[in-house]
Amino acid sequence: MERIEDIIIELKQKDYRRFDIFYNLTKKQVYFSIITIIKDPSLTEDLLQETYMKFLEKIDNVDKNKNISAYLVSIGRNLAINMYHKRKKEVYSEELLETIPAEVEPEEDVEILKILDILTQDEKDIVVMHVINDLKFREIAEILKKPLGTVLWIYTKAMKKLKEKVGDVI
Amino acid sequence: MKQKELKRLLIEKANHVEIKDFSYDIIEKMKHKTPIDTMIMTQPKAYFRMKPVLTFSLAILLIVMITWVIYPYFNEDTPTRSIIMDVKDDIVLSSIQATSMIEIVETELSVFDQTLRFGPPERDSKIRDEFKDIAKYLQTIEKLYGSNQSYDITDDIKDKPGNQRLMRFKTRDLVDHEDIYEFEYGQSVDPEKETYDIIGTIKKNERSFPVIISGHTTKKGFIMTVKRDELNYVVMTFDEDTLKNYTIELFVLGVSIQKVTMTLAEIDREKVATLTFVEGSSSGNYTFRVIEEDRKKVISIDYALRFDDELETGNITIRMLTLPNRILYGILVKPDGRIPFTFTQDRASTQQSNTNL
Repeated sequence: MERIEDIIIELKQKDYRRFDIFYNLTKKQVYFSIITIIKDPSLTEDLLQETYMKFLEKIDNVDKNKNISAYLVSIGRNLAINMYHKRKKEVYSEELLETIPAEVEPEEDVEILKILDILTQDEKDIVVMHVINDLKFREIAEILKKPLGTVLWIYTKAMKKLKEKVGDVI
Repeated sequence: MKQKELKRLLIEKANHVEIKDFSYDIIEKMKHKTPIDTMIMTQPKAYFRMKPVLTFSLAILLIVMITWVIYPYFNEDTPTRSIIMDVKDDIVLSSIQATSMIEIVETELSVFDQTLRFGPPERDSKIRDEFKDIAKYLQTIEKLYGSNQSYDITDDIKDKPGNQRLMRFKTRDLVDHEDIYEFEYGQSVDPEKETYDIIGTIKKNERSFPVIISGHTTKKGFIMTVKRDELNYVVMTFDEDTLKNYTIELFVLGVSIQKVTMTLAEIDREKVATLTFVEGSSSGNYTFRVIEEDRKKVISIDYALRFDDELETGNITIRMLTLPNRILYGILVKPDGRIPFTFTQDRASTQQSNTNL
């Protein structure tokens, strides 16, 4: 099993030979942290790449002993939120209206996105981060800048909601 | 569907999503990134210059306005305004919590061994043990939901030469019992550091508690220490961003034995309080609501407790059981996926209510 910490040391030295391993170990977390906000798979892929590029640009400041996944998720989320706000503003320009792709509905076979759509954005963020991205609640609280108690409460509410309604979706 | 099954389902569905391997593309882009791409170009900022006469006039006006605003703080002889007016509700809640906590820790509260339980004993015991700690916060929860929204707060100058103020407020709990609090205090402000200090005494019914509060004049937070004596006291720290956040730390014999955070929010026009145990022997997270059942108020708590690596969730319902000489909490615990169990516990105050139950 490859150790992320060892790969980070190599990346800091601009040795990218094992970057693909690092990428594949972490891409799921980053992907889901973006798509739950952006909802557009194609745009998500662009932001996914941008997340890793930003990560590599700042690699000298990365502490290999900290949770790298949480850090990547933070970058991805911030990029997604910025893009989301930017797109909202662009709607006011008539010229751009025609160039912005329409909201893409989750593809028929992407059931996870349909399931997550049951939830509010806050609930989605926390469930994705804890269940899919395997982050601890304290890490999630730090990323979302919410009190730990609130994170736990939202998570509990979200899981109850999913238990009740997941059968309607799949 | 059980929580474990739901989690497995979510992970399984997430694993079905194909995420392309862009690692090669990312590295190629990084290799071709030249220094010029990362240069930050800034244009000289345009700036606006006013005519000298206008600048001078505005400066004079600004000085006059600043003097008018801060003059009361320099003049310590006649405080015209309570420095804690903007956070009065939070001072009230902090006072309620700190004084009730001191009272409860002094009193030995028994957990009657009238537990009917059938589930794994370790988990049930842990929940019962945690409940002893939750009980320290129930009086505050009762008063938060039972009291008038404004707590009927009054805050007046008590004694001009002595620089004393008197804040009074009233609370009601869920059995409609009223408590009256009086907070007598003196305030001093440091305009340079933009801080304030308050020294006073809270009187609850016949009992007095020394109090020290410090805070910033420009921010909504404060730190309040309420003492039983020099070694036994409660420190309440309050701040507000999107939610009201209280950190409550209990010191017994000078040692911190418990620290919790409490947040207050309004969700769908309903007051929701969340309690999280941060330090100490308890470790759960609890979300409180008050609901009505047969015209009686009942406390409903959604909880999340860690057992090793597993998170258990469930609901606790607390009903007031009125006996001839006391009022008990009747507690029903319904863990998700496990068999419910019940127990009773002394309530902090055993005074009888004066209204219908």
